[in-house]
Amino acid sequence: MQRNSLARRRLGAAALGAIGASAVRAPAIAQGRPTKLTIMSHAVHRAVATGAKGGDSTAAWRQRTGLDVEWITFSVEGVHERVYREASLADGNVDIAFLLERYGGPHIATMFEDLGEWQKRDPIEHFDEIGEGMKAAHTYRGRMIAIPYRHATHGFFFNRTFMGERGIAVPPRSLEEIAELAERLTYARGDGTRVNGYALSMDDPSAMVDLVRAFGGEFITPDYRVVCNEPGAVRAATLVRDWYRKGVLARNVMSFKTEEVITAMQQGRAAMTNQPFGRFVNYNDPRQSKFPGAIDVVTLPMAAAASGGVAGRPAPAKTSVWAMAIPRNARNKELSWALIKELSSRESTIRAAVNGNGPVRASAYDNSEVRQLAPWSDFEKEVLPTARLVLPGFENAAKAMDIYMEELQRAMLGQAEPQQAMDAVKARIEPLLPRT
Amino acid sequence: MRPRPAARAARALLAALAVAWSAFPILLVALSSFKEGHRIFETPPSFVFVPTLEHYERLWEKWPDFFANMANSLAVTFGATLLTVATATLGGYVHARFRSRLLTGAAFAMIVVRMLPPIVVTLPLFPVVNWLRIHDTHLLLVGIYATFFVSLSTWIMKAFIERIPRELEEAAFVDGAGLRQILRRVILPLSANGIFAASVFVLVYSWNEYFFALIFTTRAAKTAPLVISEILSTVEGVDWGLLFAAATLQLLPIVVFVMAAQRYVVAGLAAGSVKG
Amino acid sequence: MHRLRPVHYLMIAPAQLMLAAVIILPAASLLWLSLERFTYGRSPEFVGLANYAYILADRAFWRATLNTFLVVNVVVYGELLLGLGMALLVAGWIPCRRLVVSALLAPYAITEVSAVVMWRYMLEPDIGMINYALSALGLGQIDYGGDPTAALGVAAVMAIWMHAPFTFLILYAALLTVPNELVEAARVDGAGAWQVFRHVKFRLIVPAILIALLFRYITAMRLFAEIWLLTEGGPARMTEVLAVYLYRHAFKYHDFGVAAATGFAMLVLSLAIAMPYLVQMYRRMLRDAA
Repeated sequence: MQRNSLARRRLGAAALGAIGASAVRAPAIAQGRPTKLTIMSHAVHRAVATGAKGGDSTAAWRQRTGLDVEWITFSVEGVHERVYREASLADGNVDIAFLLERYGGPHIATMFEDLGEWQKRDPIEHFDEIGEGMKAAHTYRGRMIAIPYRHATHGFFFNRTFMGERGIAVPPRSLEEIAELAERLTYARGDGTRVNGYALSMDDPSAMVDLVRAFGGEFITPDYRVVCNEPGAVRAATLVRDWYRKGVLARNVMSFKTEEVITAMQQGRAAMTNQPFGRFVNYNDPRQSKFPGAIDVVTLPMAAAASGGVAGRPAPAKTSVWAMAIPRNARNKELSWALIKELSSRESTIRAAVNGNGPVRASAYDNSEVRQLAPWSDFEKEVLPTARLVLPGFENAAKAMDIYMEELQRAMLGQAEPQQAMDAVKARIEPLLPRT
Repeated sequence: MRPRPAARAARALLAALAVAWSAFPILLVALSSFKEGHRIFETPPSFVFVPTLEHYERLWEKWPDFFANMANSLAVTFGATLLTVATATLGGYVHARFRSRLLTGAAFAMIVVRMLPPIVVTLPLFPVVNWLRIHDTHLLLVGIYATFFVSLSTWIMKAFIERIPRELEEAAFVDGAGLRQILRRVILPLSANGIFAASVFVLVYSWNEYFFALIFTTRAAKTAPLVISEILSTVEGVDWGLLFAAATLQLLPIVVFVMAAQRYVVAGLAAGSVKG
Repeated sequence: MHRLRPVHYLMIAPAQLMLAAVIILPAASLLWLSLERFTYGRSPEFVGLANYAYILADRAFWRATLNTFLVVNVVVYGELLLGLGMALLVAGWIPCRRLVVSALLAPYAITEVSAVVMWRYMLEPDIGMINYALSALGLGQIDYGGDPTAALGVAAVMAIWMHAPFTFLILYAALLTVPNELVEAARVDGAGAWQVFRHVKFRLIVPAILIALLFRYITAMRLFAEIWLLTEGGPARMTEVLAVYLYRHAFKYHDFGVAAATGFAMLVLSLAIAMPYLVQMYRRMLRDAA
């Protein structure tokens, strides 16, 4: 009995020891060199940085340094939630964070390294090739906290197979035509599957703002005036409300994030949408899409009424800039910067562009490989000069975007008229704007 | 006393409905994890199909960390259960054997404190966790999970220990046993059922917990439910087959455990029973 | 050995310490946090009751409160009825008892994330099993993405599905302890099944019912993942419950002061709901201790 209990006690102690050991996280640095870098981003960044078509931009670096790269990916909103939470800790787990400009703000900027300083000490090659506007989108009070990696500029996608089935030969040249086609493209196919004319992501205004601008309106001007209750913007809200009522938009469209829109297009549940040009790769990938080769992209046209008589004139496309940042509490900042430099090189930019990325270097558009393997890049290049961010950056931007979507959805549900809803948006957002 | 045939038939039908309600969603996902990808959403759905392991293979390929995270779940579950049962047994003994105003107050405090929704404590805990540098550690999750179940477990242990006749302890005491030996030789073996019942709840909770794992882990201590929610939102559209494979792997051990343990838990709860 | 000695206080200490460190102290500091305004990259500043003014004036807060109230009650009483039904069924004659009880307990072992996966699979618009069947029968569909009531309903059903086994367990165990003699005596007196239940069994399991209700009220208020993973509180923030409201303000808007105020409101609400049960419980405990 004595021996038994002694043995049991030893076993218990061993078990507790094992838990204790696994419980306390030994910081990687305490053990010597780190074995990997952790990147927190959206899945699209991993896809374009390591895709098979264009090649893996991290491969050469990984071989040189012997380090692994671990990608932790989330949804657009999710990645920011996690990154900021991690960045606020005393000790960080994240070495490189991908940030979207509309989820940033001056209060966030203090948690990240001033990469302008790093650029001075150890510069990225041909840094001036990267668009100034893109750099500015991630600069707060003089601190450039992230290096632009991707611009997601919207184009207009449509499914040629469906258009053929409905007898539509030519892509629409005005927003009014799109509105008309959307209704015709809401139908039941021969095999009984139902198609929705349009798919719209509704977790934030990034897709909606295209429609607003195509009608000649705007959400918030760069000098922080809220103008979403003016005629152009209200017309866009009314269109979306009517679409929802007529079934052009899926019944559960209000829970659509960009992921659901992609699935809808790939599965043939939607006929048209506005999404970043680079999604062309996803929509025509035979492994994921049921319509490879049938989904095409052009620039989103303005409404005829707002285009000043120019047929097919492209609307100011929505663009967003994803950029790479180093949290202040990261443990391997030298290595982080080294990898950022690698990912920012001309070569990596080309590789990513072929994989469907919107390149931040203008020179990438002149590259023959890009033009051949990324057939949308001509359109992208065309709209880039007039492209606009979703909204100017400020501390309460997240709340402002939520308020806009909330009121828009209320209009869609019939709880308010579009004009009323947009007036409410203006009234609720104005107190949140930065006091200039 | 066997009821009449009509009543028997009615009861059997109700039992079948109850079983269908409970088991159908689980079986659905488990079976569908073996269905070929393009057949998952076929209409009308069919339950006859050629099974495939493709989703499990893709899970291994695309989410290799999933298995490491299952190991995290295991470690945290084991730790939380151990901690809960240890504290609950010690506390349960005292509450069972003694009465005092202080003890009643302490017991009542344990119940009141459980009224608070867990989400409420995450905000204040965050800076503390940060300062102590225990973010993303197993220890933190073990501590949190155990705390949230120590009340229920103590109450269960108290009920079980009360049923152990005091005479046994008195006899041991007379034989010269100290408190520690009484606990080890008398209480522990005789309350084994109670320990089991008490541990089942915290075990299931720890294995399945999502919210605290979401807030307090990144990578090192990430648990399986968190990974499943990440698979639920991927840019290529939801890969349902892969999702089902992950969900099936995560639920399999615990469902089997609960089903196997039910006899003891029911008997235990009934015996230790609920006087209030 | 019948007197409380210091070592006994040491034995109850671990539990009390854990509760104090993880729950009591943080909850207390929540009040202080709620009186401050703080976010990332800025040191906290005292703003008095401004955060409370904010949430009390916020339409979304009141909707979240209403939703929480509705969902919690539907869930708790739904579970009670279902759990009681299952317990009564299993306490009597059923075929393959072990198998049936095992199956009934299985949902308790499922994490809410997987439950969302299962129910979303069945409720996917047009092609999910349930919606396909409903639309084939011409009954429309359950549109959890566009219809707030449907979404809250689905979240409630998921919660009931997952947690009714817990209530079932407690009530079943209690039913097993109802002495047979009482039941026989009632039957001999000519009571039918319903009367036996009402006057004999029910009376005796009331304490268990109260325990079950108490525990379930506690846990139902924390409903988060069911809503968050289903709709994230949409559309138009109409399916938000208080936990989602808090999460959104903390981790999307980085407005930790408002989140803390919401947390404190939830704390008060929980205590208020539990108050009648707590009073009863305290009285009973004092009686037992005497």
